[in-house]
Amino acid sequence: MTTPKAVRTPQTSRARSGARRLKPNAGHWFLLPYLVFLTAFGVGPAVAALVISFSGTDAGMPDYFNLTTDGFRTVFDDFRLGPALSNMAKFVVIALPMLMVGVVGLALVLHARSGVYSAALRSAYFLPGAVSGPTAVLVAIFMFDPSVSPFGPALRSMGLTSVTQITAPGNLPLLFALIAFFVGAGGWIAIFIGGLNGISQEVLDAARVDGANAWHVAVHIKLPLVAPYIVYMLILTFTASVQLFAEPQLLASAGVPISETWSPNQLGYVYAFEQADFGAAAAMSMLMLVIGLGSAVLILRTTRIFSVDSEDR
Amino acid sequence: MRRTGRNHGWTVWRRSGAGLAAGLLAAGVLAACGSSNDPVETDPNAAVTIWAGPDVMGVVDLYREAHPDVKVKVETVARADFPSKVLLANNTGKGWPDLIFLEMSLVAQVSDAAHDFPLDISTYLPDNLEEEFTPGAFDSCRSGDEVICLRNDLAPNVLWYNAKLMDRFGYEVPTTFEEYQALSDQVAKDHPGYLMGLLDGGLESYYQASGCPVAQKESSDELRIDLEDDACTRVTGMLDHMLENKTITPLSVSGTEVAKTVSDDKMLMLMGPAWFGQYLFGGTPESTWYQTADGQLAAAAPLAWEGEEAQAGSNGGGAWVVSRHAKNPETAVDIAVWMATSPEHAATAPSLPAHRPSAEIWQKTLDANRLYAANPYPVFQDAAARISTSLSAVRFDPITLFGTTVLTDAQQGKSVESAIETYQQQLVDTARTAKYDVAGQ
Repeated sequence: MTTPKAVRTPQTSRARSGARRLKPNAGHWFLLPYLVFLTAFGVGPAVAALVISFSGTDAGMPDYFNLTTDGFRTVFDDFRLGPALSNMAKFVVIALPMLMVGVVGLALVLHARSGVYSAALRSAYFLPGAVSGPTAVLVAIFMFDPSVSPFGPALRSMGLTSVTQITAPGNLPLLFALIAFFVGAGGWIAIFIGGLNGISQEVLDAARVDGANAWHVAVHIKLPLVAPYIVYMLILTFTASVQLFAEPQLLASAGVPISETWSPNQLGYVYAFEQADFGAAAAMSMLMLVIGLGSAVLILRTTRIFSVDSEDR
Repeated sequence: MRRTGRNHGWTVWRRSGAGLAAGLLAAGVLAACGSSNDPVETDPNAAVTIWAGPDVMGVVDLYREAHPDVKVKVETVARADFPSKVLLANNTGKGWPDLIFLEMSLVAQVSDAAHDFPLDISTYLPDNLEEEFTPGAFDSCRSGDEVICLRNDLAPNVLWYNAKLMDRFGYEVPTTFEEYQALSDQVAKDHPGYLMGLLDGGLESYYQASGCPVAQKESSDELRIDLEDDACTRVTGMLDHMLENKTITPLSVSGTEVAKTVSDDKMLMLMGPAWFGQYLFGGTPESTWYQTADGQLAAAAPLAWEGEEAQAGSNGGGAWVVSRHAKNPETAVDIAVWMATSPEHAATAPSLPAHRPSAEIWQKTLDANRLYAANPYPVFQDAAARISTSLSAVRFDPITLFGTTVLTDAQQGKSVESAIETYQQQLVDTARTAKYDVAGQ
């Protein structure tokens, strides 16, 4: 494997700055506000959740100095945990490949022929991403109802005449995956186009001179070069997917019969704000954290992106 | 994936609220936080903070106009979030409203040990006020010896029917469930496509109205849940019969298909709450169901099983709740009483007042409405006094569970009978997670 050096510039320069890590420079000052916020709104609350998950709950208030595993026991004994995890798994199994394949595929296609059309299409893909989650769900409800949807004739031709057929329990993971795709794909496509634009023209020209067609270039040149982005996207998308919350919650409030504990995050919400059990809610959050971190570690170990980096040094 | 990320931020924010509370506690501020059992220092001149949803803003404004000298602060809130807001306030020791209007299920949620929000207002209420309320209405706010809310409005289910269609077809309005089911066979044969009811809302319309113990309060922490009871199985049988002959549909009451059936004038009858008349059938060009008002809508008493007294289901209605943390409880209760009983409010109230003298004033608004074949008020008032306690307001949501089990199964073509066991199990399990004892289980 010969990886062109030109694409490596960002990483080599990062490695160089790593060598002089101890001397404070402008970069550190720029980083400081981020670290403050990360501690206040990321690490701090996570530590608080960890503490609360091992605290008891007394009359709706966490009982801090009472080490107990009641919260975890409540979660693991709950009859709603199994269905929630299974719903989440079904969603992830559909949404993750759909988003990964769709985004990478569309980005490569758009990048293959750069020009006015490609730029216009890129903007078109990006537009749904500008609609925030809850709004997207409301739009989706409208789109899925054959009697009002602009795609009504298409839906009816597939034998779907009533919104209740579409929102049947078995279809929900697919519906949520579709919403996730349309909201999330545009942003990622823009990121990938950026990554693809960073590939040196010389490399692409060299490949063409060697007789590679567009397909060869996309699969054998471009794809390996943007692989780190793909792994990065996989980690973030997986973590976001297991935290599914807004779609089922909003669809339920729009009158579609969906359990209020459809996803694990919703179950955590019910613990905290309906059952007044912060201990169980924090335990649930910890469970989600373990799933998210665990998958990230697994993905990084199997793909070894960071080990490629260290070979450079 | 931005929206889930954003939502994650939101949960983190919530958690940081809890983290903040942790810091406060560690700093020894615990004593100052005011545990909810501490007596509250009262101040007869303190302003009363009212949290009002958009729907009760009108009456709050009426009150302020009538009492310019009373100090009130009004904040607009979404009521569904209220239980979580109470917990947050309990954790930080401040931030409760003094007075709020809540649906009965929310009243149940905020009166458990963890939320512990309502004040026992029995000592503040005028004598004999209870007698002025529709039978049972005042009781719905009792918890043991305490009165934890003041009932504002009622939503008894009645049998709505299209008077013109019934005349044209030459049918008699049924008075019993047996006649209702027999008529459904007739309708299925003579006029297929016409609807006689919806499974959506059927938990209240049929099961509660039959006295079926769906979630019957035995005490404040004990429920009876038994869908195998005869009062339930007879309903299940009837529903499956009528789903089979297609006079009942499992489609959603708020869906476009049902709206089309009604505007096509194919809804023959429907068991539904009193407020359906004005808010769903409507009778104005903007209405969801009937766009014209020409005396087509009529209400009949809720159905009875042969040889039994009729009972009514109930779907909605709310109450005023005073906070146990209120600095000025007397004024807060005065305001609540005014809201629930004043003639000024009654004249413009959006739904059937629980206070009878107010209801008498309110019914004149129905007189003027040309949607109704006859004023449905006597039927409403009769049904309101028959609301069955077999489906009480509880700390979880039996109606949504009915939707995710029985209703969705029926939408996929399965029978109610096949889904009812799952529903029973989920009811029992959920009741336990809401810290109820379930009798006989």
